[in-house]
Amino acid sequence: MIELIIALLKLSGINYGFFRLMDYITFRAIMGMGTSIIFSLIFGFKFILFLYRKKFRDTSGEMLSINAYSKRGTPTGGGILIISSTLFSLILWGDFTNSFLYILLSAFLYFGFVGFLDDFQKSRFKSSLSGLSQWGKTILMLLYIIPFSLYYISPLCPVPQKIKTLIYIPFYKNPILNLGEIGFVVFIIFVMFSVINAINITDGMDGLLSGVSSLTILVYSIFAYIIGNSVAASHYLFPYIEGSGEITVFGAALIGSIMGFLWYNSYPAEVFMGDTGSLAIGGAIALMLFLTKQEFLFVISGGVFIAEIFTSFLQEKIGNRVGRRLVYRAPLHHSLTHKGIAEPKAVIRLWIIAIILTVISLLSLKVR
Amino acid sequence: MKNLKGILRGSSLIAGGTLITRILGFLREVLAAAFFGSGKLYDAFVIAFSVPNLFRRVLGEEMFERAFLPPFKRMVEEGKKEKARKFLIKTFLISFIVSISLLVIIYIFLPYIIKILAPGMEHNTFLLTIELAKIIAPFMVLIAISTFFGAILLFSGKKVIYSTAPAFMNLTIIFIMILFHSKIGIKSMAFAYLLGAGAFIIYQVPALLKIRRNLMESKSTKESARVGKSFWEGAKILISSLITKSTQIVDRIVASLIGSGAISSLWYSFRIINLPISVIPLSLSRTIAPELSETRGKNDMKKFSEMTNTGIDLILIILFPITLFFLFFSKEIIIIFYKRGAFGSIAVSETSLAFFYYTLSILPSGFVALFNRVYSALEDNKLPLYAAFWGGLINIVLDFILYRTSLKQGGIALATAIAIFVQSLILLVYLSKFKVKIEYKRFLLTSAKLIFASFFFVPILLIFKLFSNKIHGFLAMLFYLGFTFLVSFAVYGIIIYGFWRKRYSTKKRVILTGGGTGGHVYPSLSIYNILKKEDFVGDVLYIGIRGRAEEKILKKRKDIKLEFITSSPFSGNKVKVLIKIIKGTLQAGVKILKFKPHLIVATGGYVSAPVVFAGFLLKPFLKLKIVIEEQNFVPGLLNKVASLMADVVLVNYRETSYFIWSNRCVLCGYPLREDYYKEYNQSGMKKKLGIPEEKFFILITGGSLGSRSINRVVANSMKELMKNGKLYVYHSLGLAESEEYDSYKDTKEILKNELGKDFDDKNFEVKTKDGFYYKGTKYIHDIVNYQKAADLIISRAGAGAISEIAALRKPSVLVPKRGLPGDHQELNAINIVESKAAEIIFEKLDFETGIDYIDKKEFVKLVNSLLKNSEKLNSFSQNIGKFSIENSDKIIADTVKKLFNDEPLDFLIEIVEPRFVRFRRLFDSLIRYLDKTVQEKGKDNLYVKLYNIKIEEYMRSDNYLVVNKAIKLIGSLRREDLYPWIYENFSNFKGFLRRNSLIAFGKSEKYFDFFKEIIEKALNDSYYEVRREAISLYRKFYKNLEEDQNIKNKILEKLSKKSESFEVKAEAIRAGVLFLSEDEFFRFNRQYLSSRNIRIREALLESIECGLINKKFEDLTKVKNFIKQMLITTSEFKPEFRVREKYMKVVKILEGYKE
Repeated sequence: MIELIIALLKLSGINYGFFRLMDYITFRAIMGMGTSIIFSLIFGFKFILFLYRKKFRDTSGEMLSINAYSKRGTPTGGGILIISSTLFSLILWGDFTNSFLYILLSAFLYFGFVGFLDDFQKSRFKSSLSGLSQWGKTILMLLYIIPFSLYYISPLCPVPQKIKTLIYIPFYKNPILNLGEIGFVVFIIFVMFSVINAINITDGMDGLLSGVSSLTILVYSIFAYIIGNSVAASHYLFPYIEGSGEITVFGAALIGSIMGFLWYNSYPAEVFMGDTGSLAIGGAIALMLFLTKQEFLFVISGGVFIAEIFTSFLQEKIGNRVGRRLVYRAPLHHSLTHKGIAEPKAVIRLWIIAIILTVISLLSLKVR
Repeated sequence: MKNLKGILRGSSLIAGGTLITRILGFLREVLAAAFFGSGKLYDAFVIAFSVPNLFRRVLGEEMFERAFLPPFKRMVEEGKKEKARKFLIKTFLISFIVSISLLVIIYIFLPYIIKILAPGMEHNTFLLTIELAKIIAPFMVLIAISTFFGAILLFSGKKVIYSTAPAFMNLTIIFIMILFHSKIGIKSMAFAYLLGAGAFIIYQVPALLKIRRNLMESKSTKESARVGKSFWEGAKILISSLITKSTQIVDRIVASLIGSGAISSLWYSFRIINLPISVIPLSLSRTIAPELSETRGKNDMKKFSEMTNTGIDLILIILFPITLFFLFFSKEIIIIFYKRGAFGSIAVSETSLAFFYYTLSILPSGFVALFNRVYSALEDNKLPLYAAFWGGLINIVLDFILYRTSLKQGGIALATAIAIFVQSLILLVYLSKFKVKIEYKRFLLTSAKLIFASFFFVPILLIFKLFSNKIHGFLAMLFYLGFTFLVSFAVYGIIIYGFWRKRYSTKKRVILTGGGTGGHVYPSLSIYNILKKEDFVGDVLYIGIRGRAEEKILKKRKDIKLEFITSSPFSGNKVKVLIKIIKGTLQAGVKILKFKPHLIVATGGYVSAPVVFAGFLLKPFLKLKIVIEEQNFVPGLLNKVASLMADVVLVNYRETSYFIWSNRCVLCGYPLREDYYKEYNQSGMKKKLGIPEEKFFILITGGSLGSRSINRVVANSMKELMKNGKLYVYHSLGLAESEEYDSYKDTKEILKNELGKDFDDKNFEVKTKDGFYYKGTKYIHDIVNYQKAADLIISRAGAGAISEIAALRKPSVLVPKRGLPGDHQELNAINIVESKAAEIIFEKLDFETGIDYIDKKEFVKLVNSLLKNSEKLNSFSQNIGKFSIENSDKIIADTVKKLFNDEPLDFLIEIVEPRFVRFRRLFDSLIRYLDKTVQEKGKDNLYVKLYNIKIEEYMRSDNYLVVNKAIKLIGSLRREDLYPWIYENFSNFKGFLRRNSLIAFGKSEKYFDFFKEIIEKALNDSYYEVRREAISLYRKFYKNLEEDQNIKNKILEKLSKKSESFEVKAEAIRAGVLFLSEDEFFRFNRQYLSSRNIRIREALLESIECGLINKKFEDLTKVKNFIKQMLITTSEFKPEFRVREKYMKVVKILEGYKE
């Protein structure tokens, strides 16, 4: 919005030097992050109250069974706060002539909506069982993923056609594989679906997803900044993608709003993000993989997510068929509590792991 | 105005399909533009494709719909099926032969044709064009066949398939193009079209096969069909469309004189213009066409004129804003669709120039399409030919005049627009020659409306236009234009709609819906009666499904109009279901639009969902209210979804609101017929029905369809019942007549076998000397009277039945249906029985036949005991009252009235989680409950009784998770008789089951000898949880197993093994304290004092505690020293949330005050 206003002012001959600041992605990113943090902090508590009043609570059907030892009945659906503060800051600082922004927003909002449906059912419809069924969720997710995959390989997508179907891996500068268009469509569907699910599953402890996901988004924002800058891209030997710098602005705004949310979500949580938040964040991250052409970087930067979905997959798909536990509890973070590590401790340990993974990911910027 | 709706309805169907087709067509073009640009490659393809495409139009749509269909329709309508069939085959053959021979001709003269079509082509491109043309030429034949099929589909009313088939073709083309464009280049386009046409045909075939059966039915009469005459008519149409088509070719040739780029700019812009031109007028006129022919057949020229005028109106109203929109945003539209890759900004300005002028032809094209149909309905094809000829001529002349001006290709487009305008004028003026009266006044009035609307419409467009050049990028532009489109058309729509709105009447128009079974229809009628009594209802319409209960029931009621839609229950093939529901929703939408109700009352059953959906969608336009009545305890999925769209959900049970997704539930009870609420006199009623007063009258009923288990148990136990002379039994057998179960025959058979001569099978009666009387009937119509007269009712435990019993305060025996989701009927019935308001008898499953049955002995015993115990019966009548909601009619009437007066409603706020939900959600909570009841109250409990029955079922399941349930139940119900079963199958069980078996044994009070064996087996198990539970079981029965050294050794082995799971270790530490000596204990456990795992340290402390309590340790200083070495840092804690704690305290005090 500010970008537009300045463009209009410039057109009518009013031009001050500091207007140039808006041309810098770093400036907009930092301002965006600040705006969304402040937005979340200011409206956070009121929003929690609002959710509580609207009975938007975790398993509200059992309100009578409150006890002093569990967090039952905590408001859920805090993802709406994340989404709205991100949107607010993007409206101020985003460049709405950039296609990347629209693509990211479309996924962010769509998956947020799907998550909201789920949360809405869970809370409003009074039982944690009556959320969207697994199938319903899958279908709703595929309703975005499949069209997106076709869109991605079509010439309409702003990623250069030449590098679209190539596979890059971290620590190596050249593409190792060309999947071809059909192959890549399948690849997108598989990867997006698993990434979003992994991120969704990780949301099970206070502050876990907020911390880990913002680190992953940070990695991708930095990569997007470099890839979107022709000088930096050639210096670091990345394929240059025009306009992808906007992903940085989006990522920064998202990190800001997640941090603002974490303010309230840290142990003991006053609000949960619910599927609204986890799916929206998942959708945004999943798109970042492809828009920056750094799909395999996620194996490192999203290592925690991968461990989570791996354990969960192991137990649900294999373990339940065999009829025994293969891990103590699935997904990973429950295993930790089962072994006797308290929730806040487990969360911070996983954060530390995520930080280490982030550093390794950033190392792959230079070591190529 | 009536016609208008009919036309709108039909055309919206086709328009929808065509719209999808055209959008896909666009996508096709957009992708083609991106893949191949607008260079020579694409020029070659355009030329190559124009050869078959020319004949496609001529031979295809126009020909069949205008020349073939009207006479064919007439023949069928006149009943000459055989003739029609022959005519059909002949036309098909002729068109097939003609198109094949045309194909041959094209192949022979291909180079020449292409030379003519594109005189100034380079040699390479020319060769490519020929190659492409060779590939794509058969497209013509395929498309001729498919359009012929299409015509038949259209005729047979398969509008959906007809209108979506081309979309299917486009989809195929797009897919092939995407997949192969990089491999074989532009040829992929040619192949794509060919395969697309193939897919087109294949898609239509299934529907055609169905139709064929219909047409083939009568073969008796011999009639000959002459194709000749109608073929001549066809030729006229053929020529006229040839003229139209060839003017396009002339356009193209002239364009090639302007210079490069002109051809493709015309082509691209024409593609876009084609969208509104073909979608709306074609669909409109196609739906009008059959009706026009029909009215023409009846020679009703007045109606015919009326319809024509309506058509003109609609075309004006719909196409006018589109024209304006296109005019304003011509450039932006071109940018969105084509600007990318090879399509630069020069191409954009060239194309938008042509596009701008083409836009002018949208309206006249619409009229031409309409008038052509009108003329073919009049069976005059000469005038269209004439008009087309003049139009074409003018077009060509203007082409040559205008292309030299600065308009360039715009001039050519303008020429086309003018020519079509002239053509439409000619057609319009000559209509009066055929006694079709055009109301020019109405025409003017509509135009005035349009001008008024454009006062609002145009400024909006202008504002958006001003900012449009600031937008860059495809997506941004797409969003911007989309937004503009939405805003401007919303404004336009509102204004135009304002002219059409009707005034309300004081009484409300009501749509009732709900059906499938009587259980849904009767509540609907009760609500109708309640509202009618309040003088609330004006017109009423019932929407149901053909052939279901509502049709039978409503036949008698003359005051309610019944109409039908399609719908489907939410089971089986989900896609099919969804399609059916969408179809039903559309149908319901049309009906709602027609009826304009103020209130929709839906009472469940799958018919109600589409009606509610449609009502919800139309809510903003019609200001209607939606009320849903949910009489079931657990609503179906469709009703849950539908509840979100309702203003009020009336529920029968408090617990139902737990399942309803909407928060707007009002508890009103079951809307029963008025009879149930009136005071009655039982003995008077007995007298009226001819039942001796001193007799004990039992009414047995299993719902409207009847219940097999009830019927059979009654028949089987007739001998025992006969012994009691006081009994007087009336039995409603039910209407079931399926192959699986025929209630009447089946019961008769059994009674015959049982009683022999004692059974009077004609009257279905049993009489004995000492006064016993039994009568069975299929269905009791005035059942309410019998219910009133009854001393005891034996009934199903459905919502309706219980409400009736409760309203009449009758003692009853409830037979809940087995196997319903969550066993909800059984658990709900238990709820009633627990408050001593009825007696219950459970159904069991016969595992051999898979049929539900009731235990005969149990039944007889129950009936006899109730006969003697009149006190119990009295208490039943008193207690059942609290399950009846007294004034549900008043609540309903009030709720609806409040709804219309915008008064606050009495919504259910507290949400009660029904017990069975908790049991299902957490099976373990059921287990815990049963554990508790068995321990405290013993086995005389209804839940225990029910789940004792269920165990047998679960045990036999193939699904190991269900068997798992059985094992858990065996444990908590202490079914010692089934322990051997677990023991025998133990090694075949999966891990979870083995674990739970051990847990189940652990609940036993007694020691069984095989425990030892099983513990030994389990200690060697590969699964750690089984080993853990084995040790746990050992601990429980340590006293019986004290002697066994083998187990002890194994446990110690576990204790010292490094790789053992911490859970097993912890359990082993707990067990160790039982049998280890003091020193040994310290020796073994020293290593765990500073174990990293906190659970192991916990276990160690617990075991020491246990040892201390049981006085195991003699030297306490040793223990102290041992303990001192313990690491007591922690990684875990138990949180205590202070606010919650205090809150709970306060709540507890408050509850204490209440009590």
